[in-house]
Amino acid sequence: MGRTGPRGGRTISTFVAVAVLISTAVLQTTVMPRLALWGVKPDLMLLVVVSWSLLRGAREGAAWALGGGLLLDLLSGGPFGAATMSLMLSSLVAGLGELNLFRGSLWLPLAAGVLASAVYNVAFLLILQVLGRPVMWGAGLLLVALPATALNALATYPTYWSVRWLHRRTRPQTLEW
Amino acid sequence: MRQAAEDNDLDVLRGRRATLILVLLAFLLAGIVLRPAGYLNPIENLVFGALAPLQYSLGWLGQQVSSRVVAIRELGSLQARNRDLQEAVDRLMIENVRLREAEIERTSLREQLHFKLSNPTYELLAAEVIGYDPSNLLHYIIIDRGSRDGIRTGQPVVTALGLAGRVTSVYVQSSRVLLLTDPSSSVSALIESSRATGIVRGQGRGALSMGYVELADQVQVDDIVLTSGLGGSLPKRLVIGKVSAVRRDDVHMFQEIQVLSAVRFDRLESVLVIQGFSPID
Repeated sequence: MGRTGPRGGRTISTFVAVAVLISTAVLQTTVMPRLALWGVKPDLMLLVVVSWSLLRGAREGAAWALGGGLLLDLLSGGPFGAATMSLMLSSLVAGLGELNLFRGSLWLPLAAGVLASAVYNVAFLLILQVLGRPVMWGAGLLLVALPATALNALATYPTYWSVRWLHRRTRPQTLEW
Repeated sequence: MRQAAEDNDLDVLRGRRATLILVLLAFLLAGIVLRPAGYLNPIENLVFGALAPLQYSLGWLGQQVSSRVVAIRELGSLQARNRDLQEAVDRLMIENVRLREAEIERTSLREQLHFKLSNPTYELLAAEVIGYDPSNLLHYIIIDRGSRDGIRTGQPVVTALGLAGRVTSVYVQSSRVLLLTDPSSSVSALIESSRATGIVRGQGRGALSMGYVELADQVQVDDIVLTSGLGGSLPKRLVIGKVSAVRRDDVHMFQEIQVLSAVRFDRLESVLVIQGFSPID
């Protein structure tokens, strides 16, 4: 499943990463709308990318954000690139959590999920605005961004644990002497 | 001497036994004679009174043992029966879900048929919703009909409850539909009763607003809002919704009208594409 990385570790196969991202994108457009709460659906791709960023660092997180974002943009009717850019920005924010002193804290996934959700939605609205799409800032923030952040917070741990399972099965193996 | 003593004891024993038998026989005879007259009742009461608790206890114990024995004996068959019943419950549950889904589908198809019958001029194509936009901030759906089914960009998409949106992208096997609720959606509309015209825009989260309605125009809550057909992008007289609130003041040049659509935009499962209409864009 893995291959040898630049530092001698085993990294996740590109095929597995692509399969995970495609599955997530399909789930995001088909199953997640059925799990909508307060009029919004969970941002599964965002949570997967944030979880991966926390577990593997900002660099791998950004790669996943790029792949996942492009898939979402392909499936979305919105301006192309809006999801990718918002997702990359969110993964960057989440990736900082991997570096900070609270790494390993039980609260870190929740805090990162909430922060990344807020960043994702605000960035998405900004990008829509910049690209000339009509944006309802009040409704967008209060009726979409806020409940979406709350819902993502609820979905953070199940997603994080699922991604952590994948991470443990594919994490780099390094030899220490 | 010793033999004589033993014979004597034996005789005594036989004598006592004979006496006991005689007494019992006498009691039997007396019972046969006296019982019909009820003279044995005191003795019977005494006997039953003394034996009843014992009978009750032993009866209860016997019952318990018997039921345990039966339970143990039937354990194998009970497990099999339980398994059969569980299978039956599972089967019925699946059947129930299937029937409920069939009922929902039948209701949806009946509504679509009703819409088709009441709009004979439209050439309608039924389509299933196969996906929603991944973003919460955008309102699109993906339907399972594409260019090979004759779908073209701009064609209106409706449900039995009213206008849902317009086709914005067409692929071979699927199409993307912009829902009325998306902030980038705008539709020329009119109030059915007063014929006042305006533009219905999406507000996100299922809300619609109608703008550019002049202050002089009479608009009441519950008035029906229809497509006006102006601009040629949509056919006339498609139901959009009904007025839920009207706000007018001297500061603004136009009335601000809230429109409530009966369409559940977040729960769309099947839609109809109006194919006989060519939008002018």
